[in-house]
Amino acid sequence: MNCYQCGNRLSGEDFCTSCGADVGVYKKILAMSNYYYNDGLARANVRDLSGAVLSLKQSLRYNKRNTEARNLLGLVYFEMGEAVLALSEWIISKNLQPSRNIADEYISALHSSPTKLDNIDQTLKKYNQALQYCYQDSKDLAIIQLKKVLSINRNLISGYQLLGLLYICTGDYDNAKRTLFKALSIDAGNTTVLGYIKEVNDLIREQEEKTGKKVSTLPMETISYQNGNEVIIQPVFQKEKVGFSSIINIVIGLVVGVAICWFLIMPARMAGVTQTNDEKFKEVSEQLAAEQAASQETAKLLEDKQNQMDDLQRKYDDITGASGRKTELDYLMTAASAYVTDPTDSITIMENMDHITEGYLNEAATESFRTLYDKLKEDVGTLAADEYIENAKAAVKANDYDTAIEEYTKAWLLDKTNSDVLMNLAHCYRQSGDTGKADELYQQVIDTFPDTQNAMDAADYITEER
Amino acid sequence: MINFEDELKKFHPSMEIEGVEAAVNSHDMTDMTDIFMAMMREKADAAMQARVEGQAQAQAQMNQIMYNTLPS
Repeated sequence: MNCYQCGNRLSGEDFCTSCGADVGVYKKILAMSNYYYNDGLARANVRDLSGAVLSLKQSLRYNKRNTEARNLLGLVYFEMGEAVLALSEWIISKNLQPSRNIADEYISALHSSPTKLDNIDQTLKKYNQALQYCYQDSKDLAIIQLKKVLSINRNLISGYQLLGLLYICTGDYDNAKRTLFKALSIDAGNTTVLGYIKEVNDLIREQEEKTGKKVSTLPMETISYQNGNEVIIQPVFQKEKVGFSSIINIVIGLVVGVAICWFLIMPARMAGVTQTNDEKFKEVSEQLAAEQAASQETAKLLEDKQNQMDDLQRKYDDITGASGRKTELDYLMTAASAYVTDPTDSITIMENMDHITEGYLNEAATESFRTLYDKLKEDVGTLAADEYIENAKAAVKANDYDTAIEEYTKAWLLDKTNSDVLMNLAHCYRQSGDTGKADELYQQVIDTFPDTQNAMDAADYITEER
Repeated sequence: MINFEDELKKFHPSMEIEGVEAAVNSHDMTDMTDIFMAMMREKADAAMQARVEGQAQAQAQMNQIMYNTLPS
């Protein structure tokens, strides 16, 4: 503490030891300022914010240079949602004590978040607008506006007070109580709020007495006590009754929770799982399809190879005779064997040689094969032809023209110089009813053997027929 | 019973950001120490005035005495 006149540090005396000024009263003034600061601090500690504001203002009235009191006043204003008032107090504090002042940090904190400061300013503007609505008797608009304000600036005591007052005036006592209780949770010693609560309780009591019904569901009894020269009025908070209703509430909560899980969470999770499974299924299906295609390709390749192998086996068997089917060589060898055994058994020899086709002889037969074949045919052909002719004649006698045709045909194939054979073959066809074939053969006789008796006869037959 | 109109008069528009400068400038900074110092100054001035006036009065008395003692 310094002398107000010379600035010298004061001692315990009531006068300045340097300039002799009377500082007794000055010391008392500063002591009063400190006293109110301590009182304000104590009130702020128990959340009696409005009481703290009064004490701190009083402290500053005694000593405007009480920086701690001014900073605390700013903090209390800020807690009450009055950020602009808080800012102005901190600015004044900063001006009065430029160095080593915590107000610096508060101002920096506010300036570091311009969005927050802007939000606060907007809420204050809306609060003022709500107040205007009240002046214009538009209570509903004011209530809506204040609700918006308090949803952003949750500590604006004046907002709660005004909203509570509006609810009281519109007869919505439950909401009024809730709003005022919120205000009390911020500023426990706000006499305006406490007065409103008392008023609400009186109104509820009156209404309950008139109607005989319970109007409010909230506990609203208050207690009041004396603290020095002040009367403190506080609401009595009743503990909620815990019993069967609590169990029912828990059960309802569980049911609602399960329902939310079932209808909101489970479908989403199921959809996720299903999607995952679908993707896996698709992937597996693609793999399976690829493997099936590969398998089919392999099977086809295997079948082709098997067919090739079968063909080769068949050819091998044909060549080696393992299949049981006789080859041209077998027939030739059989015919040769029969010729060696009995050269006159021309029928057996020719029957075997008949199995050897012209195509085989021309394309596949070896030189030695063809030589043996020609030799056998030359030696046995005439005999065989005679044999066939005899057989054919016997068949004609027995009117078996089919056998006769067969035998004559064989004979003709062995000996194509014999016009009688061809003539008789034509007769057999004629007798069997196949006149077309017969005429063809008759014509062949005429063409092949033109100057013979058979040719002339054949011409008669043709003519006769026509 | 609450009278809405009367209660409403207790509510005042909240200060907005734009009003900070004006609020700071117009803030009444006079405190008890200022008043006390002003009183002290007035007291000192009054004492000085009284001293000056006393001196003048004493001088006048002295002059009168001197005048009376002069030989006629």
